[in-house]
Amino acid sequence: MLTGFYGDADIPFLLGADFGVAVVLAGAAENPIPGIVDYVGKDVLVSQGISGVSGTDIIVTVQTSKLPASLPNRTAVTVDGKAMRIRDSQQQGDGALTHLICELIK
Amino acid sequence: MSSVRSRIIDAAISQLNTNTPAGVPAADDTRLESYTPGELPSILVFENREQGETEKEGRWAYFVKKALTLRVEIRIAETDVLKSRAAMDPIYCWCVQQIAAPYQGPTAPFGGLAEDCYESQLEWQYAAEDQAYTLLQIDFRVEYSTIKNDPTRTQ
Repeated sequence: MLTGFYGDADIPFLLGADFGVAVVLAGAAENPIPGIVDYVGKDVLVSQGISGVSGTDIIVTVQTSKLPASLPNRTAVTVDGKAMRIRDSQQQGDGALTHLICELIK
Repeated sequence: MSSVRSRIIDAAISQLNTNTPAGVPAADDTRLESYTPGELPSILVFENREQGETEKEGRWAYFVKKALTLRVEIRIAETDVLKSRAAMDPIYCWCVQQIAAPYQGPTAPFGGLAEDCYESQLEWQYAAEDQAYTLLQIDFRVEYSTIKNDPTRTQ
């Protein structure tokens, strides 16, 4: 029995099915693209074990080949209808997927 | 009777929470739980360290001169970190105006318990998460004296 491997062509289906949300990048040729958004809680600004702030990492996983060649940080992005701004973009593993680290615009 | 140090800290928090202007949050005492973004801005007060030094005038010393570092922390949430400076400033000014004591006496912030109190060190920290968070730590040096074997008495 042959083992099937996922390729780059399968990524839109993987990102779009079930968990996927629409990601709209300002100025991009292809919009929207599918992505998966994770909200991960993280305490920051803790000093001497006293208090801190309950922050949240917003990480949007998208297909790298769907992104424009130039994607500067601070680019506006709409994720699942929420206005955000990109803080950083980091390729993962073999580079087929990219994490967009986002902040909410209020 | 509680220690002079404890009364100074209580007085500092009381001063911060009296006639607080609009936009300045109530100060918390030694809170250990994190603030959610909706609770910001925040002010937190706690004792950080204290050093003592004997005040010998002759063979025997009756008093110990103490330098308490009283820490006040201000936390702000702003999407634009540059806006946090503007948001931080009135809260910072309020804290210094209420805690720093230019003179000793019954109308001083600590009711005469301390001999002097001033900003000794300020430090900023930043965190980029779902929005920008800024922390300002203000260390106040509070100088006071107690009887060597009785921390509840200044004389």
